[in-house]
Formats: sequence, C-alpha cells, structure tokens
Amino acid sequence: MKLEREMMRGAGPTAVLQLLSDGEMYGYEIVESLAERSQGVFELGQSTLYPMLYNLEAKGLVVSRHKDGPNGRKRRYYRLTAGGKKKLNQDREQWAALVKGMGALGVTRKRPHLAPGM
Amino acid sequence: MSNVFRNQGDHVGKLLGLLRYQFSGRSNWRRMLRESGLPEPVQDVIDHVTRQSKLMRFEKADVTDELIAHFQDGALSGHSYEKLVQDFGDPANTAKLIRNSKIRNRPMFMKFGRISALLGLGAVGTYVVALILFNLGKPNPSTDYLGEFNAPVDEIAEEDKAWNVYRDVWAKYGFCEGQNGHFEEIYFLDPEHEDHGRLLRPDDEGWEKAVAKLEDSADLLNSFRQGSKLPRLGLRMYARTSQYPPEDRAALFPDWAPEMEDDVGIDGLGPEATKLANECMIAVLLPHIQSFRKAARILIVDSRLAKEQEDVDRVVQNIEAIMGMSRHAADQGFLVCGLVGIAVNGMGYDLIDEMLADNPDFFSEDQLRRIQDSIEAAEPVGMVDFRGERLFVKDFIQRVYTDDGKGDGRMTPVGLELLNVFDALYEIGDSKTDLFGGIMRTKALAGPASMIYMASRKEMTEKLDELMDRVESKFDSPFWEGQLLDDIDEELEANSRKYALLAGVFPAASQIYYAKERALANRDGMLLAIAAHRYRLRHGHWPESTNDVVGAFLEQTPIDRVDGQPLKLRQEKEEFRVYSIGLDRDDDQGRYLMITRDGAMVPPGVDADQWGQEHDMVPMPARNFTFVSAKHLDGDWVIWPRHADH
Repeated sequence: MKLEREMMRGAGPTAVLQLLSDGEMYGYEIVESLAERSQGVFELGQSTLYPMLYNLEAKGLVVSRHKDGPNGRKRRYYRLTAGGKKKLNQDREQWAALVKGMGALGVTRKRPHLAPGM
Repeated sequence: MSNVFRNQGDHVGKLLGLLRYQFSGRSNWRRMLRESGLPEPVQDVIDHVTRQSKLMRFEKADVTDELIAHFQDGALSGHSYEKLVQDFGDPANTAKLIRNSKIRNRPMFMKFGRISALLGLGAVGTYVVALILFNLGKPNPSTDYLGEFNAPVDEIAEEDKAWNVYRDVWAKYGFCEGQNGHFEEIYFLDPEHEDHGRLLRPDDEGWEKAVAKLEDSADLLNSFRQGSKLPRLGLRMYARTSQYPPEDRAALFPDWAPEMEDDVGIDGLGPEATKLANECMIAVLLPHIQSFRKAARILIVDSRLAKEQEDVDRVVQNIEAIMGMSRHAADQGFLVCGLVGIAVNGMGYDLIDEMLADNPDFFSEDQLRRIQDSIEAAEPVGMVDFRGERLFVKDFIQRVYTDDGKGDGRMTPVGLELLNVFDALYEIGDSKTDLFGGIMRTKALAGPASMIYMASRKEMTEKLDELMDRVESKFDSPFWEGQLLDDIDEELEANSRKYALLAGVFPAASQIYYAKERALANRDGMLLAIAAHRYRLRHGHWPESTNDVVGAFLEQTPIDRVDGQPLKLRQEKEEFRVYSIGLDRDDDQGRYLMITRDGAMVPPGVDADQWGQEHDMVPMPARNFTFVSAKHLDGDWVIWPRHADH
C-alpha cells in the first residue's frame, strides 16, 4: 500500500530523518531503504525525495557532503544535525500520540506493524 | 567583534566560491550529463528536470550530479534504466519542487541579492509605468473660475458703479500706465534717489508746475471726488487684455496694442504652459489699484494747495475721495486689492494728520464729523477678501493637474513647468533653482517623483479649502485673543513638497492677518483722535480719557488690539497723542517707539540707549507698526500723531 500525497507530505520527512538517525546515507540508498523498511508504504515517487532532502537541509535538519562511495564514485551523503535529531524526537512523540489517538478512535485496530527502528 | 568579522569572512569566501563555480567549467551540467554514460532516455529525464528548474548554473550542476548518481546507483542495485525512469516520477513536477527547495536552501546573501534584484526590477518597472503615465497627462481646465469671480460685478446696478465715472477721464489722461498719467510734477525728485521722493509741498521748488498740472487736471480730480462717493467699483476683470471691452481697455491699458498679446512668452515656459498661464486668473492684471494709490497722492498734493488757498472744504472732499477710493481699490476680491485699499486708507489718515498737525482748529466740527463718517465707511476688515484667492488657486490647480471627472487627477509635465516657474518667482522652500532641489533639471526624474511626493488634485483642493476655511474662521478674531494664523504658514512650510502648489500661491495668512489688525488699530486710533478734536472744539481743551469722547463724539469705545482694553490718549506738553500700549504690553504713557531714520528698529539684545546715541532716531510712523518683531521694544505704539512723510 502507498500513502496518498498529503499523508506522504506529513510523514515523509519524519521517515527520512528516522532513516538518517542510523547514519549518513546517499539519495538512492534512502529511496531503497524507505521502500524496504516500510514494507512499501513509503515507496516514494523517487523524484520527490530530492526536494524533500533539500528542504530538510534548508531547515538545518540535515547536512550533506560529497564523499567517495565503495565503488570509488563520488556521492552526496546526508546526515542528521543536532537540530535534526531534536526534531526527530519531537516527531516521534507526536506520531506516538497520533497512533494512540487513532487507535482510541478505532481507526487503527491493530498495533502498527513496522520494521525495527521505525 | 572578531566573530562578526570571521563570519563575514566566511560569507565572502562562500560567495567567491559560488561565483567561481558559477562561471567556471566545473558547473557545465550539460557536459557532466553527456559524460555520465547514462542512456539517452535517462539523460533526457535529467536534462528535463535540470533545465526546467531554472536555477543558477552551479545549482543545476549540483542537481545534475545528484540525479546522475541516483540513476547510476539504481542501475548498480540491479534495476533497469527503463524501470528507474518509470519509478522516478513526473520530471516537470520534480523540476518545480527542486527549484523551490533549492531556492530555500540558498545562502542568506544570495536570498538577499535575489530580493534586492526583484525589488530593483519592481522599482524600475514602477518608474517606467509612472514615467509613461506622467507624460501622457494633460490638464483640461473646464471651470470658468474667472467668470465665477466676475459674477457679483454683473449684479451691481449701473448707477452704483464708480468705474462708469472714472473710466472715460482715466482714458483721456492715460492715467493707468500711460505716459501722460505719471504726474511727475507732483513729486519732489531727490537727486540722490532714482525713485520718486516725497510729494511736493508749497515751499518746494517746482510747486508752481505742480499747481499748474493740478489745475489742468481738474476733471480728473473731480472724477476721483465724484466716483469715490459711489458704493462699488464695478469693474470686470479678464485674463487677456484683448478680452476687455474697448472702452475699459482704453482706460486700464492706454499703451496696449494687439501685437503685444498672445505671443507674450514667459521665461522658462513652453508654448503649452504659456497658454495655460496666460488664460489663468494669475494673468489678471490690476493696473487700476496702483492708480488709486497714485490718485491718493495727487489728492494729497491738491489738499496742500487747497490748504494754502484756505479751501478747507476741498480738503475734506479730498479726504472723503481717498477713503472712497480705498474701498474701490479693495473692491475686486483679490487680497492684493485689499492690501492696496488699506494702504490708500492709511494715506488718507496721514493727510488728516498733516492738515491738523499745526492747527487743530483747521476743520470745523461738522467737517470732522464728515471725515469720521468717511473713515467708518472704509472698513478695513471688509477690504480683505479671500474669495478671489480661493478661486484663483482652484483655477491654477485645474491647469496643472489632469481631470478624472470626479475631482481628482495627477500632476502633468506642463503643470510641473508652471509650478517650477512659480518656484523661481516665489522661492518656495529653500530651492534656488527648482522645485525639487535640482532634480527638476531632469524632468524624467521630477515627473514620476512629483506623482509620489506631491498631493493629488483632490488632496490639493481639499487642503486648499481646509486652509482657507481655517483662515476665514480665525481672521476676524482680534490679536488680543491670540487666535493667530502663524500655524497655517508653518504647516505649509513644513509640507512645502507635498503641497508645493499651495506653498507657492497660498497667501501668507499671518502677514495678511497682521496687516488687517494694524489697519483696524489705525482706523480706531484715527476715529478716537478725530473725536478728541471735536471734543476740543466744543470744550476748549483736550479730553483726559477715552471715556470723555465715547457717546457724544464716538459711538463705540475704540479698543487696543494688543490687550483688548480701550485705546489710550494723553496730552504731552503741546502734543496730543492716541496710543496702543504696544507689544511689550506695558503703558509707557504714550512714549514713542523710536526707529532709525532708515526705518531700522533696535535689535533684540542691544542696549536701546546706546543704540539711540549711535543712530539718528525718529518716532516710528503709526503705519509701520509690526506685530512680529517689536516685542522687545520699550515704548508705545503712537497712532496719533502719525509721523508720516509723504
């Protein structure tokens, strides 16, 4: 199942911040990880990832740097800033409250089955 | 501080780095794409996104670099390029999103530069629009304000119009402007001064010629005496001399010829502005008002002759004529007419004083009463009329602004020309050369600027009416109540750019107010002095207080304009005086304010006694009193005797 655009707009940045909390990643790596670890829920139209990353960078939540990859090619790697970590913690609390509230309303009947770390 | 400098250094370094990247081969994103080795459909997608993002060159390179990596990484992960292109999404939408996010991501100095550039472009665009708008504007004067101004004249009965008496005789003598109307014979020509000196006296050289001239001009003098008895002047005014009825024109402009008009240019004005100015109420010439002043001078000299001939009744007739003509000078509704009327009035006062100076018994009591009546009939407040000024300024406004048909409009190039000439004429503000302190030299700047800084037609008209209403509502209040008009002058001066037109043509309200107050004080002082002379004739001695004459010789108590108390009188040895306490508000028992023979007052802060020893001091003539700069002077404003020197 894929998220609708509006849902993705709210959840996507948090999902990306969560992925980067494990360490720095490059663009395509983030695309694949999102699709895999969210079991397809966050299967982005790949092109939307990059504007999202640039926006997070503009807000000071992530920073990027060019670095040689394992195959010797240069890639742009993204990692969380201190501000990004703080924002991620706030988002986590809000998502927990949201899931709890939705559960109480009967919107989510089962505990969400998420991949480890999410 | 060091952090600040270091941060600035970082910003500068970053800027230089970006500039280097922007203009170096490293930012050639097309080449990067060609050399990526990606298949053509993938390159097309990246090309589309990058190109449509419309970012700066180095940003495009950045995006290209990242997208190349994206597709290469996708291929390395085992996906086909076809699948990767399919999963990538809509390139157009991506380009838009990337553009927005990259712009947000720009360094602060770049954002500032972008905003500045946008603002600059906006300013240039606004200026161009304003310039076009300004240059398209043309005035369209549609209201006949001069017709409105003249309308009351048409309602005066022909038998009440003094102009019907004056006109033909004035024309015969070329009395207005005409060579034969100058009456050089009545002046004592001072070889040291180029202008006319004082008027001739019987013991002066040349008196015989003056007498001969007066006798040759008997019908002219009679026209003064007869015409001045009528209630109104009754003269229509026109902007162009050619518009006058021929008989009026012959009397007012004896030297005029058709070729003198229409082509008359005005320095600094183009043909269109000249035409607008020539048809404006400002172009109305008023030769007759100076002729009334000249007539008063002739009557003063004739009164000296009459005194010599012991023809006292002719002197009284001459005084009555001067008083009547002062009303006629002021009859046109322009302020300048009123001010000349007041001046002519004052000449009549001075003549009365002169006749009584060495012989207080010169007039009979009945003659003094006639003189009193003529003074009361020439009431100074009624002479000052703002109606003409209000219409004139409205006429001027319609000639400098466009007309949107709803009472509003914007400044025009030709209007700015007119204003600029006014600026040069009247030195609005501190500008020596033009209205906008120099930029008028480039009309391209002054034009649009005028639409921003100057009031619109509606604002200007509303301000005019507001100021005029304020002037008129406070004008009648006496000086002692402190309702002065200085605030109006100050308000205009403070807003001389926004209301440049009014700053140039609105009357100097406070000066006119003071002129009116001075005229009223002179009038009331004269009435008191004449009443005192009547008292003396009846009782054989001067009255001791103002109360002695009120009732029997004077209807109302004459009031001192300075403090609202009765004007004072006093006998000082052989001299009888009527006086106001003056601006020091201290009764100095009728002691004169002294000035130098050249008219200079003791400057503030200077020892008056020492100043008096160093200068040739004389009593200040009654008509010279000033409400503005005499506060520091010790002494009284003596209204009688008048110490005139005609």
